Amino acid sequence: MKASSLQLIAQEKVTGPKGIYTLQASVLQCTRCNACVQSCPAYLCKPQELFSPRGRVQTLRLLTENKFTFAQCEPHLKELSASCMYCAQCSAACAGQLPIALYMRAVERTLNLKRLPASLRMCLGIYHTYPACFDKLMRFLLILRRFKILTLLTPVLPKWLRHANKILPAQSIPLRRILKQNGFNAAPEKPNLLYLPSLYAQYADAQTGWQTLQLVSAKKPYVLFGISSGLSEYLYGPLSKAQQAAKRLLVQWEKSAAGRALPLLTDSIEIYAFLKNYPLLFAALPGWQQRAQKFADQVIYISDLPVKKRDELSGKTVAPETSCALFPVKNIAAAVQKILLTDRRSNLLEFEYSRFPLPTAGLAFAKHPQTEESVRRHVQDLTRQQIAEVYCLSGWAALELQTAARSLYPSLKAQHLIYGIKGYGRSQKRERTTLGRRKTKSAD
Amino acid sequence: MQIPSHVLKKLEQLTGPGQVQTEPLVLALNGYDCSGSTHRPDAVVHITSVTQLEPIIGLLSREKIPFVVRAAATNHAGSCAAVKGGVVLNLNALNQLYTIDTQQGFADADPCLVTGVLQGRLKPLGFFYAPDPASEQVCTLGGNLAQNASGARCIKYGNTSDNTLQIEFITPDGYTHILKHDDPGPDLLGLVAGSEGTLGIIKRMRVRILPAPKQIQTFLVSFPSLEDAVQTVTDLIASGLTPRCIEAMDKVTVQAIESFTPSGYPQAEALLIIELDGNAKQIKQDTLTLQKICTQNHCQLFTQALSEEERQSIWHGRQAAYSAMAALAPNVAVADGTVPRSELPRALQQVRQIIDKYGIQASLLFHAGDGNFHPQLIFDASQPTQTKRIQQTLQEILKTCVDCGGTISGEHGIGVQKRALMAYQYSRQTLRLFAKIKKAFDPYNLANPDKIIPIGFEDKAALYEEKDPAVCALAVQIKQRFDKQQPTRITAQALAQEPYLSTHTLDKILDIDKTNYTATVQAGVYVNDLIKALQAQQVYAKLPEKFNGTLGALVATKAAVDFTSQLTGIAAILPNADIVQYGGKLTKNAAGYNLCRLFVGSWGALGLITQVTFKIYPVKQNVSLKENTPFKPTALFTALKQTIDPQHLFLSAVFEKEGL
Repeated sequence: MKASSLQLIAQEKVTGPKGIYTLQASVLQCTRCNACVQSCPAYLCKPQELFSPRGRVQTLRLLTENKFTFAQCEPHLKELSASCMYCAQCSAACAGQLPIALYMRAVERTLNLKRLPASLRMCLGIYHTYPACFDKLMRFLLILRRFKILTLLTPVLPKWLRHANKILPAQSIPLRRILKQNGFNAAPEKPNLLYLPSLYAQYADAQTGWQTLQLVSAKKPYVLFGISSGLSEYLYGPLSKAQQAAKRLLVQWEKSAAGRALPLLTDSIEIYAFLKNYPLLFAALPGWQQRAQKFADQVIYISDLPVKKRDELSGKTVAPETSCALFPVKNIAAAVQKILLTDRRSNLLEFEYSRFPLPTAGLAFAKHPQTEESVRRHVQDLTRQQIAEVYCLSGWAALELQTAARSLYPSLKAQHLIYGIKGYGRSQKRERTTLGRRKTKSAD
Repeated sequence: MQIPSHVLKKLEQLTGPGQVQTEPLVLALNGYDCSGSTHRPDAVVHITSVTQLEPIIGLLSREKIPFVVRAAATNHAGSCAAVKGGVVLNLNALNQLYTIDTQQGFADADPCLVTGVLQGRLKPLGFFYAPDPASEQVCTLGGNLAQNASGARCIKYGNTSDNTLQIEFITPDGYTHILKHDDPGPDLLGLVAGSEGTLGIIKRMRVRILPAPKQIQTFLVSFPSLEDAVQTVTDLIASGLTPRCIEAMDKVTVQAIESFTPSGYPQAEALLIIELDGNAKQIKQDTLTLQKICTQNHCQLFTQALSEEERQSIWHGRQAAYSAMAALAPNVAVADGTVPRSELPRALQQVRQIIDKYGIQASLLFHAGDGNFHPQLIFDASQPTQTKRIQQTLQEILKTCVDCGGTISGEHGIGVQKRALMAYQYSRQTLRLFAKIKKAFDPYNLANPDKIIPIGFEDKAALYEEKDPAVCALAVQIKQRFDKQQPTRITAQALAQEPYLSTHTLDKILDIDKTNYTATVQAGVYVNDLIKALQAQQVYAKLPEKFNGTLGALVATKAAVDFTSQLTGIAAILPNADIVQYGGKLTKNAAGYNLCRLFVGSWGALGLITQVTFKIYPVKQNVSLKENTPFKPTALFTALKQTIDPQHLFLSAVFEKEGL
């Protein structure tokens, strides 16, 4: 059993910018330069070689070179895998761009480690297989939450649900309901844009999804409800399920686009990065890879929206000076910062993502305790710098940050990026009219 | 070696539960660095507070257990590999920044504060820390000082040692010493810099911070050949212009960068990135000089960064050079030889020949301003033949540097990787002195043992043979006195009687080099005469006109403020008549202990200084004189004296005052 696990890890395929390698061959490319070390939130919380990205790679190298037995490494491997936040900041910093997070994922999968609690895995499984059931389940949970029944049930709730109940805005309503109330057509006949809302934008803070749709309403967006990007399956489930979900989304996109190059918008940076890397997911399936490449080229993030604003001097409506579409994924943080600073012409706005890499899908509460420590340190850092306003590229990141700041730095306001760029091309007044009373309610 | 269980228990008591690890995997992970060295320690101790250091070192000292300090472990020399096992002390948690004092220009920090973090904190305040190693985003202040790694800006702002004002230093016996450059006696802070943790542990640092220059101008210049680019650098320095930094790269590097991350570099055989800083008027004037020199050397494209974005774009390519090469093959080996600037063309030609001979794909990238070049050799470590060939190539490259009057390390250090080559660079006598210095600080060879000094050097290194008759005559006299156990007192007077030994015969100005901007002068030359001779050649040094003695006396008494940092080479005769030589016309030298800093302020107690090499300038320098009087020697100075001159044959006012 142990020997086979070792072989499985060694032969696990990882896909990086240099191509597809077995894990055994990939880890050999580490030059031990340590350029990755300061980018790893787990290491910053526990500055020991074992927890550094370099240490992770070298552990696998020693293992695959048979310098250690599997039994010697197993407890460490579990610890390493659990402490990796999949933020991939190490890969961005790595000279050879080694996919270190993927190594950790391979370990987790090979050892059959269950990173997420069973109940959460079941929920995500339902979303993947029966989206309609998932929608009903979420609505039911939100109703329980609205009448504070979830709070009463706290002692018997699983940890992740307790945490979600704690950090979510007081009045969460599903995005579908907001759209219905405002008479928004989420499935127009000839859409010019597809919108894939994250779970956060659909259920946790639907105002994020609504604000996004407001920005692109002129393009007649088609909202892809109940379609999984495959990211959570990719990270926490078997690879085949991720590919299955991805294929489903690709087919849906091709069908909706009807031969056109229809852009697909997402509000989560994690999903954006994942969709952009879809071709890597189908590295072994050339036909699908080609289709995935066409699709990936059309994926856009909020900051790519062709929104315009009125120039105060000339009175003309002009396009923003820069767009994320011009930047590779790893530079998106810097690009958004630039947009915020140049277009808002304010130094008070601070965008934080590169230094606050929360795990994918925002499942921080289901991860290693070091995640919590990382968030705490980040708040301390913001406190030291006296930064009052922070924009995050994913809603979960903003929520986690805001929650952590409650006790340490209450005046900190952490929001999703959409609240930073809203207002281009349409007035605040109209937004208020459209959202009406509902927005005021959900604001607290 | 097996660490006794009671020691492990005590270590855990001192550091806290879970902070002492002996699991084989953890040991293996703490046994490597960026080089190929791998040596497992026997235990890893994670230090979480500076207060733990003294008792832990004291305990290890009592138990005679070797220890190695580990910070970011980014060095390329195997400096933090536990060659003799023992304990690895992981200091990475000691990363606090305590004070930034912009009024007095210093910052106080823990040794493992990341250099880039300090830079980031200083930037909004309009200040900067001068050393800028390429890995500054991950390497630490303490690690930089331990290796004396300085980066590109040292051509103008000095190396890490010069930019460190004070350190708290724990010697292997567990006692803390506060070391400063201007302490009376030898410059022990300068001696500790670059010692790679073999003399003790840096506990806390005070570094110099400088106001950021008002304006920085960056130029990207392309040349039809590497020789033209190097000649430009030589001419540039010879013109008296001191750029903020000069970086050079060859065609292979440029192509690799452009395919890895397009940075707008032109396709050329060689590129120079030159940066000037200062006020607008000065920069304008310097730009004209720069343009003229570049044109004279057949430059093809002379581009000036017109905005901060353009400047960042130029540097982005340079910073990605290592990554660009890493993208071409699984592994990259980096060398770190340094030669005098004037020797760069010859050295580069020979290095190219070596690379071609072995058929290796390599790029040449160098801090051209200080003659420090980093050939980056790409290979596949899984192929043993390739790895062996790379090692041979690196050895030959470094030997070429030594043959060109250079050193095997400019900033990466020696560690275990280049230890054997120390016997090629240094004579047996000099290595013997290095061993004595190590013994004075660490008699039981516990702190980072078996690094820097080659094992069995007495058989491997050649004996140094002095050619200067005056030096030979003095060495003979000292040898006779040593054999008879007669005392010696150094003087500049010609008609001196025993026990005096006169240096008046050492009266030659050996070399005034206006290409490298260094002067090599014998110690018996009077400072006033030297200043006149330099002025006659229209060059200047940081020498005080009011000093009436010889150059040797000036160095030995540390009488000129700032002259210590000007020394690049020294030669001396030890009390046992060994003639030692260190450095030369080099801006950087991280090979071995810095003997310039040992003899400066030694008051003739450690040996007779025969020759000094120091920096000269095309413009007059401000100098201040500090009248030093004999002082009470520190414990470390006394230990050095007892190891180098155990019979106290060299009489010195410092030790006489103590009754020694």
